[in-house]
Amino acid sequence: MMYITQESHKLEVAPRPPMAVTNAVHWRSEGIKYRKNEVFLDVIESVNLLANSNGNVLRSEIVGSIKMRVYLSGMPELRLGLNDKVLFESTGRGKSKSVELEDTKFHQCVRLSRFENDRTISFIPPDGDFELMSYRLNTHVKPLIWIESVIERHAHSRVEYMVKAKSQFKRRSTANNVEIIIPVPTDADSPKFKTTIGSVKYVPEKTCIVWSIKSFPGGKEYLMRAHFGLPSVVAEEVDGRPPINVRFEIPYFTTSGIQVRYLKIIEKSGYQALPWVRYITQNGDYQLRTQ
Amino acid sequence: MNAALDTVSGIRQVFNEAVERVKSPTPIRLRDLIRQIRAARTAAEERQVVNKECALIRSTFRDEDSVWRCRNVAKLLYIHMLGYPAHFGQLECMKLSASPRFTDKRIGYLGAMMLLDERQDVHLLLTHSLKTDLNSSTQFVVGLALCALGTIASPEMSRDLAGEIERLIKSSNAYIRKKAALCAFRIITKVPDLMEIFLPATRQLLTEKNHGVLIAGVILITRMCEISQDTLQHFKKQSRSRDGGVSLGRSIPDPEDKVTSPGGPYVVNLVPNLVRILKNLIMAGYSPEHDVSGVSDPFLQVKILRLLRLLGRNDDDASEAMNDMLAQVLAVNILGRFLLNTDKNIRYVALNTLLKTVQADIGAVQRHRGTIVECLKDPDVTIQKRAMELCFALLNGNNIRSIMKELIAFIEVSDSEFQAVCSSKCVIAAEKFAPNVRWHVETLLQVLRAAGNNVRDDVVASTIQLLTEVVQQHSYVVGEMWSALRSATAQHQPLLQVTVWGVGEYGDMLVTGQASDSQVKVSEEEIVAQFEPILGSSQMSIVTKEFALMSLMKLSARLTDQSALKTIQHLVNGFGCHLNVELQQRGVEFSQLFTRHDALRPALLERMPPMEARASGRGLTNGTAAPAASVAATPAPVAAAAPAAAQSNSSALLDLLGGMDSDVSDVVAPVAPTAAAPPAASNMDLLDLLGKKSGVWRIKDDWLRVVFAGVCIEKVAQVAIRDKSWYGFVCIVRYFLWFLHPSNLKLVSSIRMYMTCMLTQSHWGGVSALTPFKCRSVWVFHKFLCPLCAARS
Repeated sequence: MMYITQESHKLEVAPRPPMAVTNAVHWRSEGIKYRKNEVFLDVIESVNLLANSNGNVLRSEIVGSIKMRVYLSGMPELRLGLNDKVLFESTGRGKSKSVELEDTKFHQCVRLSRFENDRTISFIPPDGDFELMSYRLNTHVKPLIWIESVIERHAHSRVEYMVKAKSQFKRRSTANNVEIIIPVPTDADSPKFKTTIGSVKYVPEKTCIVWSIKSFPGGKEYLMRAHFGLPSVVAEEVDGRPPINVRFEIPYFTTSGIQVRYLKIIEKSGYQALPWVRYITQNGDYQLRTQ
Repeated sequence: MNAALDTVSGIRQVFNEAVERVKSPTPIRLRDLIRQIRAARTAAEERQVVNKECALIRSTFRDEDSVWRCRNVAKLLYIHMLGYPAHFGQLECMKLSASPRFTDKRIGYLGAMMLLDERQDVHLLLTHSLKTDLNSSTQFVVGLALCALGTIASPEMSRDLAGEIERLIKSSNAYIRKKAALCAFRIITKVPDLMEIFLPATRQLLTEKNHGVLIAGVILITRMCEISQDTLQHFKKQSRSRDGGVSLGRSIPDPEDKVTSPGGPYVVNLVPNLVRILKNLIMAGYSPEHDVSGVSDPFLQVKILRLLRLLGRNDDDASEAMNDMLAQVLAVNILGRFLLNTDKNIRYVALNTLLKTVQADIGAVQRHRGTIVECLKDPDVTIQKRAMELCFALLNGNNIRSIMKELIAFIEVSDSEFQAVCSSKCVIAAEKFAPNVRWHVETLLQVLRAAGNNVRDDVVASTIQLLTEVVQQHSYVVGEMWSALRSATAQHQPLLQVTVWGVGEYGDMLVTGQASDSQVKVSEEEIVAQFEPILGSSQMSIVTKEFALMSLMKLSARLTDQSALKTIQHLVNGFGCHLNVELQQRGVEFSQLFTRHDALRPALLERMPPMEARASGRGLTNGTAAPAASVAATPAPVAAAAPAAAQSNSSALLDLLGGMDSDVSDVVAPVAPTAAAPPAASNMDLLDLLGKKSGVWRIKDDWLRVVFAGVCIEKVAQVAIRDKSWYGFVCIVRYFLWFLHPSNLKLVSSIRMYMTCMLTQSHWGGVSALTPFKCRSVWVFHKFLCPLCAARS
């Protein structure tokens, strides 16, 4: 049986005053210590693109995010400098190369009031991995990997594919793990492939062929031929013409041209920390229509 | 360098493909595929499994790998049944059906039947292998070919292979004959011209012992008769020629004579033949081979009956020949046996079919009445429902007492929705078939008691109507009402409404001891005391209270004891501040009748005349009375009674309005000649009258007739306003007081509206045009019926 009594009891742990009063950061605990102070910063951009068979880009968009991995002691104060167009114009450097970010979204550690005032991104980071910010750019993107396809369909007997892949980025960059996914008719059989590079595989589960190229340098062009048999009896329902999908990953390169100008790390104890920056561009929803 | 790379990757590609091919194991078995597909948790996963397997199947088809073709086609058929495309297997089916192995053939033809139809060109390629197989010496191979042909034959195929089929129908093997007959069915459906080839063979089919062949033969002949009128005549004519004794000698077919035309030398004796088969089926004892839950081969019976129907249509001779037999077969008896079956599906079907046949032969169904009534007690609702409908269909004057007893017992135990439907139907049935008035009243009370609060409003209304009609029985009725009223609770509000109404209307009989036979005399206080709990209880609905309040008011005119009247007045006054608007308004109006207009009270509340108005053509006919007759009969009593009612009540009205007689002539005089309005008019005529031009409506009698005949009161009120008719107005007031029971709640409020409208019109408000008496009367009504308007007058 429980009774409400007049006796009071003390809390075991003394209550802390609310954050708003102390200005403390709840996403980072105190007393973190690392022997080697390092910060890793990844700028990852995914390209969404839709192009028709003539090579006209119908829709293109870059969705980017900046991810961090923080190994820093104490309560460091970080400041990140980007080549933000608004900042450059306000400080009279309008002529230098800059990017206009849209739909920027920050991690809660970023002081939004300072960003509003003078566009500086300053924050006390949480420990370990987190996504600092994400942004979107609605610019016209030239297809990084362009696919030309010629499909010859001989009804009742066979279908032949001639696929040409062309990398349209700078020579010094290289696309890795490129996969070109080409849809084929649902009733195709006995696949035969011929290619100058990489390997081709028929994936009946997804009714497509996958041409994978491990490493695809910029400014190159490769060719693949595929041959399928078709049954002599045709299906009643006609297949649609689904687009070709491309998957790729280009390191040390950003499509938008975004750059990390500096990452300043200030801590009371004044230790030296190493910032590491890395850029990657990869495919998002990357589709190219066929004839 | 580059070229070297190219060759290397090219070699690698070729090598990979070779490895793939070597690695590819024997195709999985059908059952493993089914297991894989069933193991898929999502539709997408299933699609993946199927697509992958289809790709494998396609590549093995390419390899001309004939060992596994059969298995692959079987898998493909399963995939096809799941709804995935399988067109690429069509050619493989052709190849399989041409294979010498039976297992291959079987799958091949099965695949052809499933994947092919006559729209595809591949389909014609099958003709050759069909033809070969039809000539095979193995019966099962022939069977396969026949089966496939019967399913997918196109017109071209039919023409090519009809000869083979005709030969096979005459085969000595029953298995083949049966399939060939069904094949012929398909062929004549596709190409009716080919029918003549099969005509001679039909005769032989009907002399079969084997039921399978027999049923196929009957189906074939039915189809022939349906397609061609000539063939139908041919079969009919042959049957008649036997009756006429003509050409019996030629009944043996001449094997040389291949050409047959309708009316040719073959005598088919179709009808007697069929009748004989049917008779054998029914008369023969139990045969384990053909028995289906106690009936000997019902499928064959049904097919034969269907064919007989075709043959007997518009043909007296043929009908006569089968009549005798059919009388014995007549399904009603079998259906009766079904009703006793333990399987509820069979009972349901039996009830449903009986419901259909009841129109055709009520006598036959009546014999199963006992069983049907038993079905009311079935735990299954659907069977209960059918049995209930059937019971109502079977009701007539002779059996109403027994069936009604069962139905009331059914109402007591059934669900609420059944109670509502069944009670309404009981009321209608009782109205039609009641043997006498007392039974009728008793039954209605029993229904109300059994169904409790689940009674629809129409039951209350029609019961009250019945009570008003039985003029001679009122003393009995009031006694019944009184005893029912004392036993009713809040669970029986419709019953309360009826009884309260009855006691209010005929309460004086209760007091004077005229009430039914052994009824003890009831004191006035007792009656009023019975009303008090009803009016006060929070469980009673507003409607019940309205009934009770109105009845109490009427009692104030029936009773004489001062203390009872005081109680009534007190109760009525109490309603002046009731929360419900309708009750409050009545309370205020009625208390005015006690104080300022006490003199008017007895006249206003006098007994209601019988309500003759009744929805015409209501209720069902059971085949005993033709619908036309019942409709025609309805208006007659109305027309006869209406003037009488008008006569008796007009005087009462005049009493109510005191010395108004002298004024009446003023109004009537100008249009006196039209007083010779049609004296015997039905409801319809009265409605027509409303459409006439204004003059007619000045006549008092017309107004009364219209109002008492129950013509739409709103319409009457409209005409009264249009014509500024004083009599119309008075009649409406009277009507208003009589019909204050709440089933007319909407009506009451609209009448109030009309009266307000009439009273505020200038020609009544302005005193100059009216005699002093009229002014006073207007003012009186105005005051106590429309308290809201009081300020304006």
